[in-house]
Amino acid sequence: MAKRKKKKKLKRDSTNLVIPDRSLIDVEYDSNTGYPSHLAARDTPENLEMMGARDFPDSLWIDPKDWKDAARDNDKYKLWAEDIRNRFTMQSPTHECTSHALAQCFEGAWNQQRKGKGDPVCVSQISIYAEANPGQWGGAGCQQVLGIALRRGFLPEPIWGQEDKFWHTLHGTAGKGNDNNSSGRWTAVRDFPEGWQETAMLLRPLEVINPRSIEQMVCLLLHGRLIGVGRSGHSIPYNKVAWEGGGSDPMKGLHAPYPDSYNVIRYDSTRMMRSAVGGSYCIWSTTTPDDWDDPGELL
Amino acid sequence: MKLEINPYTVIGIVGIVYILMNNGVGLPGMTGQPAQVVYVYEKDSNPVPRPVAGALMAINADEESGIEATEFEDDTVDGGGDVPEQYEAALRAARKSGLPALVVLDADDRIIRVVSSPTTEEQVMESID
Repeated sequence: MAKRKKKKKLKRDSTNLVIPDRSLIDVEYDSNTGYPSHLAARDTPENLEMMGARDFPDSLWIDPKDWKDAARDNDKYKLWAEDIRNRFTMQSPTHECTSHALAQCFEGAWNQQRKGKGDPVCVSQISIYAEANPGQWGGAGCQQVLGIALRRGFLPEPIWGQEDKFWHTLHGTAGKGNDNNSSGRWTAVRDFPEGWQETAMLLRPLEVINPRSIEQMVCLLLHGRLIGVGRSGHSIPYNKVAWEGGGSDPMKGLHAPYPDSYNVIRYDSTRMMRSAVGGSYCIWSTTTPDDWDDPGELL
Repeated sequence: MKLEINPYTVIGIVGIVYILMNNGVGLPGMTGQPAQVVYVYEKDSNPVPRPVAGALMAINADEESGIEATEFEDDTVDGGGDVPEQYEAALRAARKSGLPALVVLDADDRIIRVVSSPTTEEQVMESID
């Protein structure tokens, strides 16, 4: 009997993505997750510019014909923001989505500066959301929560030993949370721990880039940063790009995976990504401690 | 024959042994083992080359390396708006050499070497050898 030829196993990388379940693509929620249309309308590139975000620098441009090579390099060197993501967060059933996406973007930029995900910092979503929407329900704007973080920063969560590294902490969410996202009661800003502002100043985004096209968004993702977006009533953090087929056309088959704040990776197609450009932002850099081992300046 | 030992010689030998046992700490002009490697850059001119970023990631992933590898953009500040203390020496050396530069330092923030505009993994790995 003739020996059957062994089928060569296709090596999976970002240029031949397999999405396990089609229901994970372009997900739109029936319920309010916290990004209603009247708040989304305020998220524009012009408003982000007024907040101090800068235009996309030419130096970060990658020609679309080179995107797949850059993606393969990112796979090889583990440079995607997804490669250095420390956790999922879990917002259900709150309206905190914009702050959960923002926290992922901040933590990703922090880790990218540190070049790894060891000894990370994890920040409290409610430490931002409580100011953005003192009424708790109804959500917030992407740029509204970003503006708060730029001005006065996050508090860290009391997990992973951070309560011993910072003077002040606050639980992550008023939602369910998970093993890596602490949960607690709704907490108004007036009930934050006394003197919290000193700690929050240590955990601020510094430089924010204002992407104005899907191509610029892809370039920033290829540089290992996240893009915070709001679309179809929900805010999420893109942290990678990958192609489901597509051949030589860099736009064909393109998807942006994201760690949704419901303990799951989901994917946006280019159709959804295009709709998300208007309110998008990229945190390039964050405040950096005098000593990585003492981020709360306790010593 | 009675061997006479000069006390100054003994002090000198003990001192040299001590210095060698402490990776050179305490001797002006001498540096210890690499403890920190920093790629200092300005993204408006040059983003971090992927092979360099990959090498920095690999150094951090190796827990036995004892070296902290990071990137530092020129105008990054701490919570108080100042240059973070841990990057002061690296930033000074990189600016003197011209950005971008890879700066290797010992545990006392003494410059071991500066590599101008590295682009490969090998350049990063050789810099800490």
